[in-house]
Amino acid sequence: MSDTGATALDASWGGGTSPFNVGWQKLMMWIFIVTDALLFAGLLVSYGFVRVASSTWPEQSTAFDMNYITLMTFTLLASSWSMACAVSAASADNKKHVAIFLWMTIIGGLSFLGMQVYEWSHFIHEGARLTSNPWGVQQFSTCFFVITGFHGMHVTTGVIILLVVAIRTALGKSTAMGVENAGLYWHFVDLVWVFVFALFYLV
Amino acid sequence: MAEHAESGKKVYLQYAKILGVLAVLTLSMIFISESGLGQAPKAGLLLLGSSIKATLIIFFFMHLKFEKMGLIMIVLVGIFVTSILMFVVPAYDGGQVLLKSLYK
Repeated sequence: MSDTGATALDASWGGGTSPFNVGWQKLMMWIFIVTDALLFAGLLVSYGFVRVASSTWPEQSTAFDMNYITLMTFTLLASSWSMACAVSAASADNKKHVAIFLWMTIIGGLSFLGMQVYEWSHFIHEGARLTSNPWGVQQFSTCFFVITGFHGMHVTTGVIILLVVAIRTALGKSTAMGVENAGLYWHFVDLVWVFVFALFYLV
Repeated sequence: MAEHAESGKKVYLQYAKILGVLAVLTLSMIFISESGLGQAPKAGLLLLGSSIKATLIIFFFMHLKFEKMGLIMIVLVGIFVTSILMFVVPAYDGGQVLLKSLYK
């Protein structure tokens, strides 16, 4: 390799924020998001095959209150908005706004989780179990519990991360990068719900 | 200081506009779901709607639009191409089974 080529390569891969112009924490968060997205892609693709292979599938509106699920969706979307604002405020070093928007996001996340707990308890109360349900298609409740369960677990983790960041912000210890990474994770949780909502509740 | 706060409000408003688009897309998808469309076109339209929503979230809320092309490609190729492959590769086998059952 010529000297010029080696120098150019060294400039791109010289460490620090190279070669993607982002810090290692943010790069690791993106790589984590890609791998975690593949977990959900696997779950949703498996669900797709189960759906295609089943001769019948229950009408979603007979099992769920669609207005309620829509409200859950809007709650998560709104929390994504407040998280984006928190990240923007953090990059502008506006600590007051960071705290306000972070707590708004946490409240949104907790509301979503509360609604999901109610939805699960309602579903279980109607007789749905992991391997059986009153709608006659066993895989229906299996897919529901596995997919929404995994997603709910991610939301719970997200709320815990946001609580840690909010407390660190109150103590003056949080950094713009910390808020941004927490934000990336939170938006990812919203991103997954976009597909869960469409494929499980609407199709 | 006041200028800083003003530009902050502008950014919040821009995000609110994206939220508005996401809300409209969500309502449109619910409308499509409740329309009398067949299962296949409905699934196609809903997947298209979800992909548009996902793109808006990734590009604007997650700021991927402002990252270097290398990172954008890692994320998009990593998520979308692998997801499509996950479906397409076993779909070939699934299609064979389906065809056999149809022409039995």
